[in-house]
Order: sequence, then structure tokens, then C-alpha cells
Amino acid sequence: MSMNRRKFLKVSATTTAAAVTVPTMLVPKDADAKIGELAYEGEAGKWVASTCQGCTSWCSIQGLVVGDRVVKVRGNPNSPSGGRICPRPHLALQQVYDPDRVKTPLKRTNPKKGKGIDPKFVPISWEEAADTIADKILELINAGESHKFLLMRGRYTYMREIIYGTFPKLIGSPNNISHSAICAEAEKFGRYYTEGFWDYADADLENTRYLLAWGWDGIASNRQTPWFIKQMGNIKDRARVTAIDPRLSATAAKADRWLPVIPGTDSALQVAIAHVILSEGKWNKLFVGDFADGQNAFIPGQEVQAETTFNEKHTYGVVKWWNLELKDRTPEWAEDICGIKADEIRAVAREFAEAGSKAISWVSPGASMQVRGAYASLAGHALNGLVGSVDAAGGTLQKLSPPVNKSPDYKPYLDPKLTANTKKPKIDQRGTKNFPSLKKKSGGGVVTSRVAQALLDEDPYDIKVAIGYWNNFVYSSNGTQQWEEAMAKLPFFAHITTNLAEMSMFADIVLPAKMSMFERWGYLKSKQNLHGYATLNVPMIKPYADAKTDETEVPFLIAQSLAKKGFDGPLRYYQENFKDPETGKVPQNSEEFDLFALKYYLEPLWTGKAASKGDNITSWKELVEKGIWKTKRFTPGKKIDNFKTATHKFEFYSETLKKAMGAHAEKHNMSMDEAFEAANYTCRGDLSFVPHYEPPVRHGDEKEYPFIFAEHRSRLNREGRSQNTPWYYGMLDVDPGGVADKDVTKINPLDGKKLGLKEGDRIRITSPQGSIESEVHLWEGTRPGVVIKCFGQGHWAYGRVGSEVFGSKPRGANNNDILHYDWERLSGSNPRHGGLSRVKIEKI
Amino acid sequence: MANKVKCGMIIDLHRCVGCGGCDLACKSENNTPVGIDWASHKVETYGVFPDTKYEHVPTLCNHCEDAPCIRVCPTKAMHKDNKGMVIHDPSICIGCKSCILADPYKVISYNQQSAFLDYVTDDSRIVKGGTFSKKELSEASNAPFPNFNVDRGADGYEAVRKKGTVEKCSFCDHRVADGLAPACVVACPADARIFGDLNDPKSEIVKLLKTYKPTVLLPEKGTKPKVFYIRSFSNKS
Amino acid sequence: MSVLWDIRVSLDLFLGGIGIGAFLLGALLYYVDSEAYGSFIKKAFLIAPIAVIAGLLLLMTELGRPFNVIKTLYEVNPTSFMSLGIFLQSGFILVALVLAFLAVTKGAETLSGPVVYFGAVLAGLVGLYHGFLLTGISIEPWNNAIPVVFFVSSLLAGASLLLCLNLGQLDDLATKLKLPLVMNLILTLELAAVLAWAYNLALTSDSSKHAYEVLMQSFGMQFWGISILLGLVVPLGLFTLALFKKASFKSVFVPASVAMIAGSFFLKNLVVYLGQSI
Repeated sequence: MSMNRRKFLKVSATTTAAAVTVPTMLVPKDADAKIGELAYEGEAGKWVASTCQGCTSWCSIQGLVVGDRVVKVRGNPNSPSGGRICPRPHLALQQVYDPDRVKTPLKRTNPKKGKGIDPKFVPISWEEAADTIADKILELINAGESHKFLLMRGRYTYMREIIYGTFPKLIGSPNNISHSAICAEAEKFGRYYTEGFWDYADADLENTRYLLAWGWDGIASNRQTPWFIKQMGNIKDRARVTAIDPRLSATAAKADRWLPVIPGTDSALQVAIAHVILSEGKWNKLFVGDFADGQNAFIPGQEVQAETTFNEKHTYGVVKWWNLELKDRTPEWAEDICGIKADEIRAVAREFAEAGSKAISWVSPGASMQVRGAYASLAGHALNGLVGSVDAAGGTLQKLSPPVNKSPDYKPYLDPKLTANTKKPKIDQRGTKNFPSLKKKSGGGVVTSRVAQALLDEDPYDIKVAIGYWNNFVYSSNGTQQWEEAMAKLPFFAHITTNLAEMSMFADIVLPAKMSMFERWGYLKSKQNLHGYATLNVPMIKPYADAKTDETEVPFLIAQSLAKKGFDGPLRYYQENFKDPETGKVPQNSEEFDLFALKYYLEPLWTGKAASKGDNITSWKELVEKGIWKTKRFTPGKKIDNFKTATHKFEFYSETLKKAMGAHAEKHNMSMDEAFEAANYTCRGDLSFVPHYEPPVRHGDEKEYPFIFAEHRSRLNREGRSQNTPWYYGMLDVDPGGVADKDVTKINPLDGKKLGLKEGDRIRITSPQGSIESEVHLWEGTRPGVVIKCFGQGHWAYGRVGSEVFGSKPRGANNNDILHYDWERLSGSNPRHGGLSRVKIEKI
Repeated sequence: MANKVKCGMIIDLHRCVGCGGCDLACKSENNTPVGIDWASHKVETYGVFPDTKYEHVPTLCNHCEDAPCIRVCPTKAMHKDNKGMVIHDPSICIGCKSCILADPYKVISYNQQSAFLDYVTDDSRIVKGGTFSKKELSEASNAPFPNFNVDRGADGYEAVRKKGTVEKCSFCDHRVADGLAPACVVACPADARIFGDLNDPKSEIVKLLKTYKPTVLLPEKGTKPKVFYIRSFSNKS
Repeated sequence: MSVLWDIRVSLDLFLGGIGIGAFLLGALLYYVDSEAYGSFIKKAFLIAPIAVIAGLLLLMTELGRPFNVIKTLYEVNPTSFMSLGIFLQSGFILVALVLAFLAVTKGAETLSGPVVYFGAVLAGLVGLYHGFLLTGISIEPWNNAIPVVFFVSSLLAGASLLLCLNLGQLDDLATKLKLPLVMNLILTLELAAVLAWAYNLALTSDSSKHAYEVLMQSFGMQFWGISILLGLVVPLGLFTLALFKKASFKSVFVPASVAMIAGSFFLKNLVVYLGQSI
């Protein structure tokens, strides 16, 4: 028999104890999660809480630490997502133990910079690295051009306050540039200019009756992924799900309906749905109000006459919306534009409206990160206003936020000579004529990918010294070619990173970063399941590399070096303000600073001060053990008539947008119409302030480039960072249309036939921007005329697994090589969706 | 014993979203190398655009009542344990691969090489002095590979399977012995996997098997799988 | 699917077949006339264990953990043909080696009748085991026809080899044992069994039909050209010529034997690979 003696004894014991053991075994749902700590034969393991940053769900997780190694990952049972995790956190194990991680600070010895050029990195000490950077900064300061310093932030924790929030200012630079515009700012635009909420939405999934998912693939990617996964089965039991996506997404595969919209035409479909809801009298009268005489005057093709009274309740401008836009937006009109049959549009509108205040219209980047996506973001969200599901049980919700300490005032530590430089315009050209970037106000938001062009044009000035952390814009932003040129031109660049990424290959100094999930302190704010929360990044293991925390330790080391050289403002700021709140100890080294700074920011959460707003946690130790502080459950209904909009109502006609764009136009001495024209929108007059259809922008002539290119995310993408993990590749077929170990382009079999392409053929895909090589997967989940490829592969640098030849030859292809270098200018976003690039396909 | 424990699993395809979390949790629990997956899945797209459907079916060893792999094994290395689980004992496996040939579900894998051998032999690095080699990581972590799960070997099982043996899903017998559900069950974010005692009329698995009409894979093979599937992945109208 | 059982398994089945075929012919001659055919019997009993052992050694190199084979002696699985086969083969090798030793040292005529009979029974069981090893796996082309197909193939190959090594007594045996007729009969039986096997695949079920398609598409030449035509039809034709005295038995026997031995190997090899190609 196979059982050795040890095992035999163990099994016998179990069998004898069947009465105890078996019931535990049979209720597996939370069994493991409840145990918390497991004894191991010969070795002890401990589950330690931290945060997964594979996407921006920012789930609280736990890692099982055995000795000095982390071996497994699971959801944190204290988290509001029910202690669940999606597949992504598991991949982090191979990320933290990636042999290709940077081991020590490196210095470039090859002065020539460019794609595919070996930087000839050699190891240096942290001291030499920090001194080199400090010298460069001092050169700028001494030359009176401290504003020519640029800090580029990629993914982050809220400890960004140190390196991004305060460090550039303390050395006299206005340039803290975030990645946010690559992410999803256009999605927030719609919520802000209807209900005054610049953020991602939450939703009451447990009570909803309808989910209208605009490019939303919530069970696969961003945000709240594990909570959506957990709820999907329940939602299907009681609600209908309609997924709008050119690709049969993971969510579309589970949905009741799939509307394979033509990329970039979501707004046509949205206004047609709104048209049906109004013309058929199916809007929520309790929320929106009704005509005084009870007669529906929303008659297709006709304006509501001025003398007709509509008693509007919690919304603003429904009649204007109808008159300006909706009256002619019949499903028949939309059918030709968006490729969805009029009957189906009508059916969806009716189903959606019948679910009333429990119907969620969820806009995601897919439907908004488009060249003219701001209005799809508005229109998609405005549908919630029509059915009254805004701030309603079963509807779409705002959030509660954990109260944390603000950064101490840096001004007393700023050399007065540098103050003027901190007020110079930022390098990303936000708020300029062509880039309103209206995060609440003109120039309120970042235009991340514009930085490349600004560096090339030296407009508004030339950047001389730059630091980037946890970012890889050369790879992750539209316009890879522009980024490569810009980075090659940059005189001095230091990159703080776990892996030698594309961006690092342009660096003069590379600094090894601790991996966020397992090696560093930090915290994130997020929300899931109607709870806001703060979740900790906890260093449960020591890195094998000589790595530091990018956001705290590195600026501290540079500050120390600057102080050594006589510029001590930053170090004094950090040491005097971030003492250990428990002991009052002044941070003497970067590791102490890493911890003390975190304790400072979170102090209200672990001293019981915030107990009235959520969890009552009374010691630092307790917070670290739990790993998360949660707010109380969000109560719907309190925001109504109290929205942070100009009218405090839910605005169909956005007075808020009118005000913001008005200020922008005034700043540049333009008319409002000129301002919209400069932002590449077609709307003029009052139409600009209601959700409306905007024709999509497509780069490339239809004759030469007959196909529309669309992209999506893999459910295994940890943003762009899981592509050096072997586990990633073997499982790529968990994405509908994906093929394991490959980076395929999904083409409808009809198009394949037209092009004479067979499964597995190698092809070149060319847009006016550039060209990539890929492999054909003929797939019925793709709309004819649209070719679809997943984002994430095609790294020419990141490591041995992610590249065919590290430093020169990618494995797979990067979609950003062919996505046009363009912007959604009202929010500053990267329009990676909406089919902005037309492409041609050639067999190779 | 009057009421012997007989472990089985239900996979509720209605709840399953096809994320693959189970497959990955299995990999970290069971130290399977690249290319060997105890938990896996099969996917299928059918229909014609726009009436396209997609199905994802998680797969694993079916722990058959009438297991062909057990029947053909020349040494009882493949055997049934006292909970009805089909378990492989590499210490008496001769590596004949009969079980792989006999298994209609193709869930048994063979180790042509010792798993994670690259962590012993590969000292290449992408930047000399600047990054690690696999060998270096294995030495630094004092483990066959850094995220090696020692508990997999707690009961004498080869925690990392060396050259010449087969391996497959064991229903996480080492966890079940400790009163824990298999890793894939715990890891499933959709609660789509229900594990329990088929001989206990009060267990959730038995209740669900009565509520829904379960199916098994390849019923015509007569293997009587103990992994059951209920409901359907896609319900598109 | 990659090939789990490669040519070493085919060679084991082939060499094992030679061994038991040789032994059974030797045993037959022992009962016919142990004195007259003494040297023939010696060769047969010597070749038998050597061929079986050679096959097993090859098989051992195919195993992932050959040193664990010793454990098959006490970890017995009665439902596994391989487990049973190890005992049968060990027993056969033991008996055959003893017989070979005694035949060489003391002469074939001194051998004990019951022991030879026991050896023959074991040889027969080992011969059947070769087929049942595959049949027991229970995948499509390895169906119930295989034990017969392999057993008869083994008899043809083993006996032919032995006769080739004793060409001096061939004419005598041809007359005494009516070899042209007997060979014709056995070849016909094998032809029937092989065709029945293929025909059964072609008709039975979806998976067997698939196996038949693979047989025709990927193994067509090996099957029709080598296994059927060269291995069975050509010898059949040659022996028929001998039967009708159109050629001397001796003149056709060596080429026919070479064809049969080659055919036996290719047939077994093809079956082994076909089973893993579907």
C-alpha cells in the first residue's frame, strides 16, 4: 500500500475524529478563511494581511508566510468582498520571486539611448545612486530652473504623498505627473458632470435587478473584481445582465444579452435607450418628476413646447435633454450607427426601465476612454438618472471614505527662492487651449501621455531631470514611438522599478523597488460592497534584492543626500513631521521613515478616533493584523438633492460642465463653441451640456485600413506586470477568445474568409501609427469588421519570460504600437478604446 | 465502518465565471511546475455571431468510483484512500505511464524531468550583477523554488515530484486530512465549488445533487466520477 | 498527446513474442521427438528467455522509476495486467532459464515433461499478456482483438526465427509437421484477426471510427504495406506456392520468415503508436 506509516497514522486519527473533522470539511466556504493561522508539520505558517495591486480593485489579501517565504495567497477574511480574490493575486507569487527583478541599484554606462540599445548597466551602491540624483537636482536648483525636474508616477499607494505629493514641491518643481489619464479619468467625467462625483461608482449588487454593462467586464477586470465574481451567480438568479462590448467579454459570456456595439458608438446606443424610456413614459416619475398634466409630451420627433410644464424633482434639465438631443434619437436612427438592431435596443430600454431604481447602468473605460468618450460617459450615467437608480438601493452609489491624516504643510520647508518655480505650468500642458482636462476645473486633471510630446517640443519648457516610479509609459501609453523618442531625449532619468521595464532601458539610474504586495509598507483607499476601506501593504517578507520602497525610502535617501550637500529642506520636513506617533522617535533611516510615515497617515484609524465612522481599531498592531479598516455600510438616499453639482440636482443638462468649460474658454479668450472645437468635439451651443451622440474619431482611411482595431484586458493582467510570470501564459484561454501561450488577434471567421486567413496564420496589423505582428484566432465572439487583441503582452523589456529576447525582441505584441497617439481632451484621457485606430491586415 | 466518508465535489457552472483562480491556487498549493496542471479547464465558443456562446468547464481528477488509472496501475501506486479519493503514491510508482494512457480525462501528468530542475541548474541572468538567476533564488530561499509549499509534502508525499513519476489532483488530501477543503474550493471567488461527503445525507453536496440534475464528464466511460457539474455556464437567451 | 510508450515498448512486445514463439515451438518439438530435435530445442529454450529478458530490459529503460520495479513483487494489483504480467514473465523466465540450463548441460531429452508443459503454459499466458497489456488500458484501438492478433503474431515470428536457425532440419520438419499447410493456416488466422480488428474499429463507435481514420491516414503505409502485405500476404503467397509445389519450401522459407518477423514488429509497433495518437 502507498500509505507510509506517518500518513497512515494521520489518516487514522482523522477517521477516528470524523465527528469533529467531517463537518468542518463539509462546510468549506469559509473554513480556511476562518482558521487564520495554520500549524504546519515541522514548520509554522502565518497568514499576513496586505493588499493586491494587480488592478485598482485594491483588494485586501493575505499571504501565507512560512519561514521567510510567502507561499500562498488568499482573500483577507476581514475584507468587505467576503474574503475572496480573483485569479490575479496568485500570479503575484511569481512576480515577487521573479528572477529578473532588479537586484541592486544600476548605472547606465552606454550614453546612447534608444529602443533596443543595451544600456550596459553596472551595479552601484544606494549611496552613489542617491548622490548622483541629488547632484542633478542641486544643479537645477542652483541654475534657478528647479521646475525642470519631473516626477512621473505610475501605480501607487497612498504613500504617494511623500514622493509625488510633497517631494517635487520641496525641491521647487510643479511637475508631479500621475498616470491617471491612462487609467480611467473619462469614466469619472460622466459621474462628475451629472452628480458631482469624480470617482468610480459603487453599486448595490445584492439588490439590483438589472445591470447594463457598458464595456464593463467586472468579473474579469477592474474594479471590485472578486466581489462581482462572488455576486455574479446571485445577480443572474434575480436580475438580467446586458453586456455592451464589441468582444464577447467574460461578462458578456455570462450575460443574458450581449450587444456587440461598433467601437466608439456607445453614445448612439445610450441616447436611443434614453429616447425609448422617455417616449414610452417609462422614466422614474418619483425621481425625475412628470408633466403637470400627466400627459407624456416626449413625442418622437417633436420638441416639448415651452408652455408644457414638467415638474422636475431630483434631476435637472430632462426636457432640455429631450429637446436638444433625444427627440430624434430613435432606435432606428441608432441601429445603423452602433450596429445593434432597433428591436433589441427597444427591448433593452424597456427591461432596464422596468427594473426602475434597481437598474444599474455602469460605464467603464471601454465605453468612455474614447477620443469623444466624455459624452458616452455622461449619457451612460444619465440613464441611471432616468430610472432613478442614482443613490438608490439596488442602484449606483457613491462612497464612504476612511478618514486619514493630511500631509503636513510643506511650505515652511520650501526655500522661498523656489516658490515661484512651483507655480510654473506643469509639463503635461493641462488646461491649455487644446487640453481642458476638466477634472472639476480647467487643467484640474492630468494629461499623462501628452508629456511625451511636451518633452519633445520642450513646451512649456525643457525637462532636464526626471524620476519615474512604478510606471512604464513607454509601454503602457498610446504613442509608444513618441515616448521612446522623448525618453531618449531626456538628459537624466532615474527609474524606480521591480523589473527592468521598457522605461528602465532609457534610464541613467535604475533603483530596485520593493514589491508592493509582500515587501513594503503602504496603504490604499478603495471600496467594495458598499464599504469604503483603507487596506495596508505589509512587508511580510524581506526582499532578496537590495530594494527600497519607491514612495518613501527613495525620496528619504535623496533628501538625506541633499541635506549632506547643504539643501536640507526636504529632510527636515520628513524628519520633523513623520515621527513615530507611538514613541515620538524621529526617523533616522529610510526603513523607519517608511513605517512612521504610514503610521502618521493612518493614525485616526488605529487609535479608535475613527470608530464612529467604521471599524473600532485601537492599536497599530491590531490594524496590521487585520490589514484593513472599513467604513460603515453606505446608506443610499442621502445624496439626493445634495449632489455636488451646480444645481445640487442630478444634471441631465450639466450646468456644472457649462461653468467649468466656460471658465476654460474664458481663460483662453475663446467662445464656448471654439473651446469644444479645440477639444475635438463636434457639439456646439447648448447641445454641449447634455449627453449626446458624438461621432467616433477613427484615424486611417477606411479604404486603406478597412478594419477597426479594438483591445481589451486579460483577467490575468496585473496591469502590465504579470507578463514575466510563467503562470500567466499557460492560462490565457481563461479569457474568452484567448489562446494559451499566445498573443492572438481575434478575427471573425467571415473576415478571415475574406482575407484568406486560417487559424494560426501570422499577420501584420498596421495602423497609421505603427505596425505589430500577431497570430490569427478566428472567433465568433468578434464583431465582423472589428479585430480585437488583448493588451498586456509585447514587452521588449521586462524579463526573460515576457520578452523573446530581453531588451530587443518582444513576446507577442504591444497594442500601444498601433493605437493612435491621441486624447480624450475633456478629461485628458488616453483613448485606448472606441476604435480610434483603423488597421489593415496582411498575412506574413 | 458503517458510514464511510466518500469525498466528492460539485462545480456549479452557473456560479462559475471561468476566472481560473482555482487553477492558480492549485498550482501554489501543490507545487506543480509549468506544463503540469492538476486543476485545469476546457473552454468552447459556439454559435455564430452575434448569437455566440461561450462555455468554461473547470476540470480536475474525477476521483472515479471505477477508476481506470487504479485498475491498470501495476503497483497500487494509484489507489483509493479511505475517503474514496484516488491518490497516487510516487514512492512505489514505477513510471510506466499506464495510468495516463488509461485515464479518459487526461488529468494525469508525467514528470519527464524532476520538477523545478531549472532552479537547480539555471544560473543565467538578464543583466550580469544586476538581476537574479533561478538558481540564486532557490539558494537564497533555501527551497526547491521560492514559493515552494512545504505542506504539500507533510504526509510523506513528494512535495516536488522528481523525475520519472506521474502526478495528479489528490483532492488536496493533505488539507482534507487537516479538516480543510481543497485549495481550489477555498480559492473559488464565486463559491462555485462544493466539496463534501457523498455518504452524508445532510451534507450540502448531497442536497445540491438532489436539487439539480448533475452531469459528469464522459459518463459513457462508466467511470462513475465523483466530480459533478450542476447548472450551466451560459444562459444567454 | 506526446508518446508515452515509445518504440521500446513495441520492442519488448516484439522480443517477448519471439521468445514465447520460440519456446512454444521448442516445447512442441520436445513432445514430438526430444532426441531428434535436441539441438533445435536447446536453441529454442535458450533464445526464449534471452529474448524476453532483452525485451524487458528495453522496457525498463522506458520506465520512469525502473528501480521501483522490485516493488511490483509485493505491491500486487490483481486488476492490472502489467502487475500480473510481471509475475508471469518472471515465472516464465525462471522456468525457461532452468530448462535452457538443463538442456544445454544435460541434453534436451533429459528435461522433465511436466516442467516443459508448465513452461509452455506460462509461455502461452505471457503471449496472451502482451496483448492484454494494451487491451487492459481500454483505449480505442487497443480492443479485445489485440491479444489474439499479438499472440498469433508472436507464434509466427518466434517459430520462423527458430526454423531459420535450424534450416538443416527444415525439410524434415516441413514434412513431419506439414509446415506449408500449418503456416498457411496460421497466417490466414492472423490475417483474419488483423482485418477483423481494423473492421471493428471502422464500424463500432465514434471513437473507434476516429481511431480507424487515424490508422488509415497516419499509419496507412505501415498497416497495409508492411503489416498486412509484407508481413502476412507475401508469406501466405510464398507458402501457397510451396503448398502447390510451385517452389521448394526451403527456398521460400527464409524470405517469408524475414517478412513475417518484420511484419510482426511493425504490426505491434503500429498498434502501440496508434493507441497513443488518437
